[in-house]
Amino acid sequence: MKLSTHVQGEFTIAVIGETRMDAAVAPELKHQISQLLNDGATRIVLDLSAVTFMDSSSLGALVSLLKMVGNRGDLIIAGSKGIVADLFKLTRMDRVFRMADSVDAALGAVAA
Amino acid sequence: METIYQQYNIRLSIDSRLDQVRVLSGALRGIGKELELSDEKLGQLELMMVEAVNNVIEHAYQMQGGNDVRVRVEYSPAEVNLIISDSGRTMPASLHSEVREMPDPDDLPEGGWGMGLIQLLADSIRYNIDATGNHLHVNKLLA
Repeated sequence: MKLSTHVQGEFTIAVIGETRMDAAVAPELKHQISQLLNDGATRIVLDLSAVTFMDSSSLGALVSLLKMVGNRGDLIIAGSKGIVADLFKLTRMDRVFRMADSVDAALGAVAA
Repeated sequence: METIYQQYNIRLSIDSRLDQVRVLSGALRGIGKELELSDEKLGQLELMMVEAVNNVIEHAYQMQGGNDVRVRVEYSPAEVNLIISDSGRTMPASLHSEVREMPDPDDLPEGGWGMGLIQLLADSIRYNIDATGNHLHVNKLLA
């Protein structure tokens, strides 16, 4: 799975470079983000703005990552739209994750 | 010239492997675009189909490849029916004949949303078993 990362202030911005997050890629997604956590990143913004489809297996992988972050840091979901945003709302997991319209909005919200 | 849509009955099938599901999604999106479905309806249909097919692969076939997952797409201007069929283990009645409560978000669930999502997004669902296998019928009105 294509994932690019860069650091912006205290945050690691992880950009999903795929249009699709499904059960076939969920384990790799989990592995790659957990690697970032193991490498010391604690405040992560996950940029989903390129993602046009996501299923509940990938959502489950994100929840397991949220548990790994725990109260040591942040996992902010940025840029979800369309059916991807709907998936968070329908499952009510938009209440559990910190959601932002974009990476800039996520960083601004934290700075504010 | 104005296009007049008739009814379509399209049959797709994949091997029971999760890496095959994206191709099925691509086929459904292609069908939806050709039939000029809205992005919203198409996204909902794709999510319902993928959740149903993932369930078949994970539960009916217990993640064993080499089995057939069949999807029939019935289109008319008023509605779309997706019929997802398998020849594996039958789904427990509690999963399709009762209203599924979504897992409590505060419990930080990592799964268990599939049938609940299908029930929320569909206008109706039905599950039947016959000599050819198990069939989940998912209806979505287009009006």
